[in-house]
Amino acid sequence: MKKSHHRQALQWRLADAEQLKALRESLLESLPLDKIGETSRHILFYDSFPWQLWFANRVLYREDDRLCLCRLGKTSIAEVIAEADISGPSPRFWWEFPDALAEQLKPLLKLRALMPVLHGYRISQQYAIRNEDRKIVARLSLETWHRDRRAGPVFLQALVTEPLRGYEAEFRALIRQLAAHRLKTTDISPLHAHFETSGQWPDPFSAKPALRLSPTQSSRDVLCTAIRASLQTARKCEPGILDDIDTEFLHDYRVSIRSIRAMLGQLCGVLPQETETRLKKAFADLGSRTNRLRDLDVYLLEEPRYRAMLPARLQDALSGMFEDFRKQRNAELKKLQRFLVSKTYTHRIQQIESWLEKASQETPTKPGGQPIIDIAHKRLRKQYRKVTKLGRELHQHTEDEAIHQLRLKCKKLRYLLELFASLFEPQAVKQLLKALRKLQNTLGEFNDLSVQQESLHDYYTQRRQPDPRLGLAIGALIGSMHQQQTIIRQQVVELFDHFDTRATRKLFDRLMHSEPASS
Amino acid sequence: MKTIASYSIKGGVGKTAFSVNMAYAAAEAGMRTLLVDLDPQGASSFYFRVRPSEKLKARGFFDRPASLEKNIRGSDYGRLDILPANLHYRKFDARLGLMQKPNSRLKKALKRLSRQYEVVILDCPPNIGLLSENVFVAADVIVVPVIPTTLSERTFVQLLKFFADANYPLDHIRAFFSMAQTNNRLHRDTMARMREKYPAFLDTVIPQSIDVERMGIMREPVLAYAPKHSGAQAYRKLCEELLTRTGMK
Repeated sequence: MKKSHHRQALQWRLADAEQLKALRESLLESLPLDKIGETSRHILFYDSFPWQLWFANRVLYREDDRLCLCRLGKTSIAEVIAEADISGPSPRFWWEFPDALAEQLKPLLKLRALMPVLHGYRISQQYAIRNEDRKIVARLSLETWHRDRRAGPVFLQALVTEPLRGYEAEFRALIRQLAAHRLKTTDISPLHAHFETSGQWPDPFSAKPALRLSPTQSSRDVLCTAIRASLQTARKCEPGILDDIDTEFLHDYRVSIRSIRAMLGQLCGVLPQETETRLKKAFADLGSRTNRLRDLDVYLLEEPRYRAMLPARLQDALSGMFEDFRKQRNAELKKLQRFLVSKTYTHRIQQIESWLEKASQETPTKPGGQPIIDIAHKRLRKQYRKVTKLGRELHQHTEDEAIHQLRLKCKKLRYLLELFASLFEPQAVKQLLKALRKLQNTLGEFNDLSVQQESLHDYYTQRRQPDPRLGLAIGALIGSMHQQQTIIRQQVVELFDHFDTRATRKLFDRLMHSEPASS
Repeated sequence: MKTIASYSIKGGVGKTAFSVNMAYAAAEAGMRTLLVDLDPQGASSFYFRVRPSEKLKARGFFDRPASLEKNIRGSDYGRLDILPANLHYRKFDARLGLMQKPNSRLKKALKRLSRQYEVVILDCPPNIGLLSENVFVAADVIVVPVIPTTLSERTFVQLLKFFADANYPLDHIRAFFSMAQTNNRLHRDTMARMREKYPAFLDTVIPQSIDVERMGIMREPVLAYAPKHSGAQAYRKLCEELLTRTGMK
C-alpha cells in the first residue's frame, strides 16, 4: 500500500511454508540482509450484510485510528477514495462517519449498517539490503496475514520488496534473484486472499430472489418453490434482527413474508384449499407480529424529517414523543426477538415446510396442474385490467380509499411481474416495472402520509396528560402532511395518465407475447 | 516547499551537523525532505553513506533538471532524500558566471522539485561568492551557526553587512550558537553580548559535544544513533524552534 517516487513496491506471493523455507535457506542467506524490525498491525475490513461495498468495487478498512475507503481492483486494493482519522469504536451507519467518508458511503449503504467482515493481523518482518558502504539500497519484508487473532490461521504470506530512489540497479538485481526462485509478483489484496483461501466469496443478497421458471412447469411446483425461496430469504434476515444490526433486516424479512402472502392470494386454488388457508393464516400471523416494530422503525428514521417540517421553536416539542417511540421500539424488538428464538416459531416453520412438502406430493388441484405460463398470462392480464380500470376512474377529488385501492392493485401487479419475470422477455419486464415504479412511489408516499397523520393523531388523543406544545407540533405536522397529500393527489392523477398510455399498453401486449431470454 | 540554507562564511562551525540533523528531524516530523549537499567536500552525503554524484557536473546541476533529479538518492530514513555533492561542484561559481541571471539559477533549479518535497535543506560551502548569492535568493531561511568567539562574531557582522549592502532581506537570517562551551566564561559572555545586539539568534544552543563529533564514525545523524543524548536533544529542540518560528509547524 506504499508508493515510492520512481518504482513501486512489489509483492511476491509465497505459496506455502515449504517455499518460504527454501527461500530462507538460499536467497535470504546469500543476500546481505539486516533485520531492522518487526511490526504487528490489526486491520479490520468492513462491509454490510448484502456486501454493498464489495459489489460496488469498494473496500473500507481500519488500521489503528485511520479509516480508508478504497477502490477495489480485480484482485487488489486500488487507490484511496476517502480517508479519515477516528477515535473509539468504528461508526456503523454512513451518517456517523466523518464528512468525507459519509458522502461516499451514503449512496452505497443507504440504511444499512457496516459490520466487520475480516479481522486481519499483519506481521511484517522487515529487512534492509545494504551495499559495501552499509547504505540501505532496498527494503524487503516478509508479510504474514493471520485471520481472527494474532496467531490465527495464515491466509496470505508474501515478500514485499521496496526500492529506494536512486538505487534502481540494486532493486532490479533483487527482483532477478526472486524471479529465479520462481516467485511471482501479485497485487492480491488480503481481502481477496482471505476469500480465496476460505472459498467463501461474498454472496449477493436480495430480498426478492429471482426464480428461473420454465413455462411448462406446473403452477403448483412454481408456487411451492417460490414460497420456499422467499421463506429462506426471510430466515437469512433473522440473525440481523436478533443482533439488531440495522432496520433493513426486518424490512427485508417483511418483504419476503408479504410477497409469499401476495403469491398465495394471486395464485389461489393452485394449492389444495386446506393447505392454502393454513399457509395464509400462518404467514398473516408472521407478518402481523412485525407491523408495530416496522412502524416505529420508520418513525425513528423519519425523525430528522419531522423536525425539519416544523418551525425552529416547535422542534424540541417532539422530543418526548420520539423518546416514547424509542422505548416502545425496544420493547417491540425484544418481543419479536423472543418470538424468533421460541419453540413456537421453530415449530411453525417446520409446519409450513411439511405442508408445502405434502402439497407438492399429492395430486395437484386443477389449477395447480396447469402449466405456469397459462396461469401467468391469466393472472397478469386480469391484474393489469384491474389497475387500469381503477386508475381511469381517478379524478382530483377522488376519495383516499380509491387511491389506497389503486396502490394495492399496483403492488399485486408488481409481485406477479417479479414472480413471472423469467417467463418473458427480460427487457419488456424491466420496462414495465420501471413504468410501474414511478406510479407506485407516489402512491406509496400518499399512503405513508395517510398512515402517519392517523398515527400522530392517535398518539396525541391517547395521551393521558395534555401537552399543549406537543399538541401544536403534531397539529402543525398533520397540517403540513395534509397539504402535501393534496399535492400528491393531483400528481397521482397525472402520473396515472403517464402510465396508462398507448406505449404502455403496447408494451404489455409485447410482454404477453414474448418469450424468455435464451439462457 | 520551504527552503532552509545552512550557511556561514567561516568553515568548521557546524553547518553540516545542523543540515544533517535538521533534515532528519524534518523528515521525522512527517515532512517530505530533500537535503542538497552543495559543498564539494560532500560531508553531508558522507554522513548518510551516499556516494558522490559523479555524473552530475556543475553545468547539469543548473541546466539539466532531469539529470539533477536522477542523482537524488533515498536515504535510510523514511521521507528523507539526499542530493549528494561531488568535486565538480567547486566549479559552481565559474559556471554561474557564464550564465544569464546568474543569481537566481539555484532557485529555478529547485522550483521543479517543489511538488515532491515540503522542505529542502541546503548545506552550503564556506565562502561568499556567486553560489552564496544564489543561496540567498533561493532560501526562505538562512541559518547561520556561530561559535561564540570574537572571530566568529566578526564574520557574522560581515554577513549582515553584505546582506544590507546587497539589499537581501535581513529577516531571512537566523543564527544559533554552535559548539558552545558552557563552562567557558568567554563563550558565555560572547553569547550574552551577541544576543543583546542581534535579535536573529534562536534560543537553543548547541553545546560542544562528543556525541555530535562521533557522527563521522557512525555515518548517521546524531538524532538517529543517540537520540537521547544531550547533543541530539539540543538539535531536536533547535529544529523545533526553527520550524515554529518560521511558521512551518
